[in-house]
Order: sequence, then structure tokens, then C-alpha cells
Amino acid sequence: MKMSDRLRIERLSCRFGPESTEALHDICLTVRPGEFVLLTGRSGCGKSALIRCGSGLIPRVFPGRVSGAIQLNGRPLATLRTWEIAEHVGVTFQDPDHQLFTRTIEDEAAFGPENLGLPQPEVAERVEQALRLTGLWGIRRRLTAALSFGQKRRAGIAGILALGPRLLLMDEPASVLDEESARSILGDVARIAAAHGGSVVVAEHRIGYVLEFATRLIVMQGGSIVYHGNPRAAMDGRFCARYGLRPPVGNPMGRARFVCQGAHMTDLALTARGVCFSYPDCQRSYGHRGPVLADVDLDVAASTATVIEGPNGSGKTTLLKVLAGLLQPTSGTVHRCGNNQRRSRGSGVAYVGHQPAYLFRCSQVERELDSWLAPEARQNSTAYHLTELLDLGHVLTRHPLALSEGESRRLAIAAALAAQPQVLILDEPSVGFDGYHLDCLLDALERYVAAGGALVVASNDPDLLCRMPACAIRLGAAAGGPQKIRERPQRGQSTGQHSGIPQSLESPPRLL
Amino acid sequence: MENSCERKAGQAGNILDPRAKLAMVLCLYTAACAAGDAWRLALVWAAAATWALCTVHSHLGRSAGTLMAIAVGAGALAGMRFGQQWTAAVAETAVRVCIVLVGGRAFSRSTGTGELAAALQRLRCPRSVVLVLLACQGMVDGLGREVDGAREAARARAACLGTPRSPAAAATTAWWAMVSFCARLLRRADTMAAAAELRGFSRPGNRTSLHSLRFGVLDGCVVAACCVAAALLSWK
Repeated sequence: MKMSDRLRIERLSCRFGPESTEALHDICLTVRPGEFVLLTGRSGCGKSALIRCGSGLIPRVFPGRVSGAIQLNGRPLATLRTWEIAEHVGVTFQDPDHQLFTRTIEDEAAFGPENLGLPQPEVAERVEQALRLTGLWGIRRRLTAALSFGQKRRAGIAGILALGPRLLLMDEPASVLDEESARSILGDVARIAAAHGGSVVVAEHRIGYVLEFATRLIVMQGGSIVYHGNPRAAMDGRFCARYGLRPPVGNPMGRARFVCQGAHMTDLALTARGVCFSYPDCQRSYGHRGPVLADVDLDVAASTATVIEGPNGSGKTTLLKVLAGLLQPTSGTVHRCGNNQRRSRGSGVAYVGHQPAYLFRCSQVERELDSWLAPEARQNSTAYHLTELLDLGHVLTRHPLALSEGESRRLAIAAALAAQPQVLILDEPSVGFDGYHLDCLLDALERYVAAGGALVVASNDPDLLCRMPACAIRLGAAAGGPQKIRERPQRGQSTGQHSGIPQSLESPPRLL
Repeated sequence: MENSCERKAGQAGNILDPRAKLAMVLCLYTAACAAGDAWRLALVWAAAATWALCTVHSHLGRSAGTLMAIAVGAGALAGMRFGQQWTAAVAETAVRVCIVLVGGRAFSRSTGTGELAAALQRLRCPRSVVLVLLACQGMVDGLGREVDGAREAARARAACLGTPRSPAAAATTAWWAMVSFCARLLRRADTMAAAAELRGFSRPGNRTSLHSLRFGVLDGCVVAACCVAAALLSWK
């Protein structure tokens, strides 16, 4: 007997959003049993809209106008009631926090089967199976609020697997995850799907993680499918450049590109000595008690970029907040030095964190940028250059809170650059960025560093890390262990090292 | 392996059935509302003791615990030193609020979401109400993180651009923080609604439960004692 297609979409068009823009145009797509489909394209190309339409969320939950035909496992989507869809398709969203409802992992996995009214023994069996498949069985009674980002992602997947869907739609599952977690989760999903005859569709910018599992590649542009075929095509740098994709790490396009000139240890912008930090609330350190940072020494010099990398939960964000003065170290000192005459307001440190929307105070993008402009930059066209550089020209008249995640992050970085701080601290700046916008970001940061700025970036995005400068430091074990910074040689390049000050750059890398 | 923080979190109340704990919270609330002057001090000390117990076992968080302590202490002092009508009213209100907060917090820290859902269903609570309560409970931790994010962003902006000096500028800052907070909250609620729909949230009919609850002798004794105490206080 021929097995029906997991998902069949014919001539799908969709308009949604406040301006009723056409998000999808004439999409035809079939996902067969056992397939692992990688869906990619530039930001705003319609990936998320396709996932929402394919699962019936548009127009049932999110208002929108949809035309065309969609079938799930051979049954027309329009004839299925919303709760019936749950047995055919599972969806994971970008932020796993947005799909966790309960206090413990076990309750989370049981939430769906309980809603479906399954008998208790079956609920227990499904919960155990889902938690074992996702590797969470050993910590099933742990509070969801105390989980790391990767564990939350797994908990979300377990909650869906417990419903037994044949099709899994994942919206940017690797964003913010470190490389090991991302590969592990995607590998597990591919293994589970293969073992149970399920199909997976992953919408992702970080295609390097997904390519090894993908059996098919779909590239979208402007709401339409523009490429449909072999995933190996994405290994070609020209292919990625044509569609604005991120080239997978190891590709010739993914090369170190910063030039840090005239960096001297006398030009220090920020120093940290013997910094230790512990959270009073153990939930913030993923349930572990004790210090998050231990005895950290760090110097940040002008005209250099410093990258802090490490697995999720290793203390990157905490370190950045301590450096920015948002958290007071338990012991040790952070000293912001440098040229005080250059500083006309504030402490000269700009920080852009995980929630950039809270930085905004104006009702228009253009006015927001103006409000950040340093007095000495008002005479020239700095704001205009920044909007061009970070591709914000088309949203100048929009409300900052109406921007997408990627646009919001680009605006926050542009605003911070407009303030011309001595030290710019960015936490995961590349989340939600496609290849084109990643290039824009790197250009803007390169100019900032070349102009004498001191840049500190925390990220575990390999597409960003491999194109940043050689001064990199890596935080150690994940989840709450004391983190002592040590030097990590950067991908084949030598770094200068001062005793006890690991990351300072004496021999800046050349632009390849 | 579960960490010590989580193990401790449930120690205080995990031995009781969620329905017994619900009854305790309701009785505590009734007692707090009904108590007159004679009982106020006793309730203050009861609230303080419960607060201390919860802080030790549930790691309430420094700010929440401090706020409660200040409210209880201020309420008690105001009531004792002045004894005038309006201060007494303020004191009583503070004490009642604190008792309810502490009771509620102790309840939520020692009760799993699944247990709560099952308990409410056994009490014939409508399914829609149960599910909405579950979603709200799931959002509580998220709200805390959003507030932290807003506060940190305000400090980051002030560190970069300088602290707003005029009251108007400070008010604008607060207003925009609130607007951003609400916008993010609505977006979060939308996504949670979508996630819930795709997990059978809207299915009609009875919801089952992974947890089988058993109302034991200890639960019965606790509920009976609470009910008697609440009745006595109300009658008084």
C-alpha cells in the first residue's frame, strides 16, 4: 500500500500581518515519509509563514488570508479540527520558552496526551518514550524554569513527540544553541524520524548544522520557492551568495576578515581583575549553586575585537553583564578606563543583550536612532550611514516594536554604534541574521573597531566566530561550573598573550 | 541527577495532596480576612514563620522575600505603635496580603502543574478554567524574566546615554519600558496560544492525568483543622 505524503501543499498563497503583505506566493511542496527537509532563505522570505500555514496556525490562530490546498497525511487540513492536527503535525517555535506550560519536564511531556484524554497508562508510556528519546528521562522531575536553553528545546520536542505526530516542523531550532547542542538535538530528531517513519522540516539560517542530516534543500525568496533539490548545492559559496544564505563553516567565504590596527596594551578600554560572580537565585545558573564566574582576568584594548565563546550556560552573558556594569561582581573589580575627554555622556559602554526591544524609547526607527546619536556625530550623516550599513533604510518610518527579531537586533546595534561608545558589548548579535545581514553586521563592526572602538562579542555562532578576529577566549564547562577564562588559539592563527591576560591582541590578523 | 535546589523546593509541602494544600490556602485567606485585632499579631508571626520556612526550602529569591518581610514588619509596627484606625487598617491589609502571598507561593512551589490540574479537575473545576490557569502558571516565570530584561535594558541605555535627569524623562523611560513589556507579552501570549492549540488544548471532553492523587488521612486531618480554625476566626 502506498504511504500518503506527510505534507502536500498546492498553489498556496498567504497574506497576513498588520499590513496584510503577501508572505507566500503560489507555493507547491510535498514532504514524503522519512524525508528531512531543510528550508532556508533570507530573513522575511516566508519560512515561518510556510510553517504556520502548513500546521493550520494561519488562519486558525494567527489571522490571515490563505488560498490553495494543504493535505496532512492524505487528509485535507481544512477538514481537521485544530486539536486533531496535533496528532498529525508538531511545531517547535524559535523560542522554546514560548511553548513550555508546566513546571516540570515530566508534566510538560504529559501535557499533550492529557489534553487528548488518553488513558493514564498510555500517557505514562508516551511520556517515558518521549523523554527517553530526547535524553531527558534522567531529569524528568527537574523544573523547566531551571533548564538550559538546549534542555528547554529538548523539553519542547519531547512534549510534541508524546503526541505521536508523523511530521515535525521546526522553526530555527539551532538559534542561540551552541554547536554541540545544536548538532546533538538535530541528530536526535533525524534519528527519531528515521526510526519511526516520520518526516522533518527545519527552517534555519545556520544551515551548516542541518546539511549533514538533510535529504532535500528548499530555498525561498520573496514568498516563493526558488530552489528545490540537493542539499549539497549549499556547500557552494556562489550558491549561498546568490540567495543571501550563510555559507557553511569551512567554506572559502567563511574567513577571518577583521583588521585590528594599532592595538597596544597601553590603549586599554576595560579591565577586569579577579572577577567572581554568583547568582543568589540558583534558577539563573540553570539550577546549579556556586559561582558562575571564578577569578576572571580580562583586558579589552581599543581597536580590538574580543570574542567570548563557550557552550550554553558557561557564563558568557553573565560575564558581559559584569563587564557592562549591569551586574556587580561578588569579588574583584571591573575598571572602565580610557579617554574620558572623548566621553560626553554615560559610562562609554554600550550593551546590546538578548532582548533589544527594551532599549527603544521612540515611536519611529529614525527618531530612535537620532536619540542615540553622540553630540559630535550629529553634524555629519552618521545615522544615515548606519541605516545603509545595517540595511535599515526600508524600516525608518516604522515603529521599533513592530520590527522582526532580526531587524530589531540590527536597530539596537545601529543605535549603540550611533552613540559612539568606547566599548561595545554584544550578546549573540547574529541571532536571526541571514548571510547577507551577517555580512552587513560584520562590515559595521569592522568599521567600529577600525575607528578605535573596543568590541566584545559573546556568541556560539560558528558563522560569526570564524569571521571574527583572532583574539578569542573560550569559557569552559557548561551549566554553572566556575568559569576561568583561558586562551584558545583561533583557528590556525597565533595570538599574542600577556601573562594572565589571555585575549589581548599583539599581532593582529590580516584580512585574507 | 536532580540538584539539591529542586529537591529542597518541594520538601515542605510535597507530602500533602494538592487539594489539601488548596484548602489550606483558602482557609488561611479566610482567616486573614476575618481576623480582628486580637488575632492580628498571631497572624503576623505565623506569616513571618511561614515566610522564613518558604525562604529556606523554596529559595524565594532575595527581593521577593525582603519585600514580604518589610511589608509584614511595617504592618505589625504600624498596628502596634499607633493603633489608630487608618494605620490599623493599613496594617491589617498588609498582613492579609502577605499571608495570601506567602501561602500561594508555598503552594505553587510544592505543587506540580500536573498535580494542580488533576486536583482542580477532581474538584469539578471547568476544563477551560484549568487550562487557562496552567497557561498562566507557565507564564509566571517568563514574566519575571521579562521584567529583568526591561530593567537591564534601562540600565544599559542609561550607562550608554546617561541617566535621565528630569522627572519627565524618567517618566518617558518608564512608559516605554511598560509599552515594550506589554508588546512582548502579547507576542508571547500569541505564540503560547498557538503552541497550546497544537497540543490538543482545545479538544472538548474530559482531560486525563498522569498523576493519580490519593487523599490520605493526613490530608483529611489538615483540611479539617484548617476548616475549624477558619470557622472559629470567622465566628469570632
